[in-house]
Amino acid sequence: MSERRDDENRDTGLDERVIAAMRSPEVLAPNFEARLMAQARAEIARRQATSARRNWWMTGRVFVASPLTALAMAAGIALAAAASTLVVARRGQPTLSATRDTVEFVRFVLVDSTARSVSVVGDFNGWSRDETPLNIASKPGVWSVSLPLSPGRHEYAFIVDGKRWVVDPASIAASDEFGTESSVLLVAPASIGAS
Amino acid sequence: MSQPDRELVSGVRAGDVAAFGALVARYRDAYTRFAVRMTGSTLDADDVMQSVWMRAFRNIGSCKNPDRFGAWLYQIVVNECRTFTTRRALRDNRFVDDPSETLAALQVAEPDVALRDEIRRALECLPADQREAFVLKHVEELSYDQIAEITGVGVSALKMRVSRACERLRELLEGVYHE
Repeated sequence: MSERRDDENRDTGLDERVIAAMRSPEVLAPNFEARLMAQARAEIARRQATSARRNWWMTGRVFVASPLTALAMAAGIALAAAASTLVVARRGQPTLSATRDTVEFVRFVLVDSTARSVSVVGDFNGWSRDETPLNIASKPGVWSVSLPLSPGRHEYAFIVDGKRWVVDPASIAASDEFGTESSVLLVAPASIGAS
Repeated sequence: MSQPDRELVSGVRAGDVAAFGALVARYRDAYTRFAVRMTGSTLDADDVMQSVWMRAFRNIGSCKNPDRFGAWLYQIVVNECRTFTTRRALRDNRFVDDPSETLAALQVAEPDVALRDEIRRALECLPADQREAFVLKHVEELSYDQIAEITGVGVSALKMRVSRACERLRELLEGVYHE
């Protein structure tokens, strides 16, 4: 950021000492960098381990087998291919399957008989407390909403009466990097032909 | 002469942790103050900045212009601070009904000791978008064009936010120096 300080609206109308205090430098914990570097090294190690596993599968290998064994293996592979084709043909609708792979409908439910309003916040709606209200279901105190979510891991929580943060009692809880507890939802891609 | 950002970014992409360390050393102090002003505490800022740097490390491939790594990183800092403040506000219900009462109570403490707390509380009383615009403009002393690039918000909207933030801060901090 080289071209700092334009002259527009420099005057805040605040006391100079207040501005000076605001601009005073801040220092983080002395071990900040050490912790960060440890995380970075762990990340590199994970990547290398993943890469090594991938390479193992991608590396060409030579198998030595008798003619009879080779014939049996070829027959087995052909049978497996034929069976999988049969299964796909029977279940059909590959287009529907592709659509399901991109989004899944998930129903969020919270039971709270004292709540006047409930909304769900999560990574899928930018943690906006106004975006996704839950509706009263058929039974009193049962709040629910269905949302289309992409497959993968999602974090969420309920907001009761616009201000109370409630983790889902029916789900796994996890703390984020800031120590905030929220609920975790794992959305699996739909399998072919699932209802 | 220090290595340019472009070379360090290239090193990080190749998995060079030392290059990452050099970038951290170069930019750490510059963005820490912003994170502290936005979160209100060095402990929270520490968490945010750890998250910022790891996000930068994992996504360094998406830094399209490595010569402007600092501007790219600033966007991550701003986004992480937004996420933090949004989630904290929801979790803690940190909505202050009458901040002037809290500030008045603080002023009975020693002025020098209380000043930083008063400033922190006053900044916390601002809506997050106004606080962000104010800090970038008047604490970090960036131009409106730079702020617009980092935040993705238009210049006229930013000017409005800064103006409102200044007005509110003047009210909140009025009488801090009344000796």
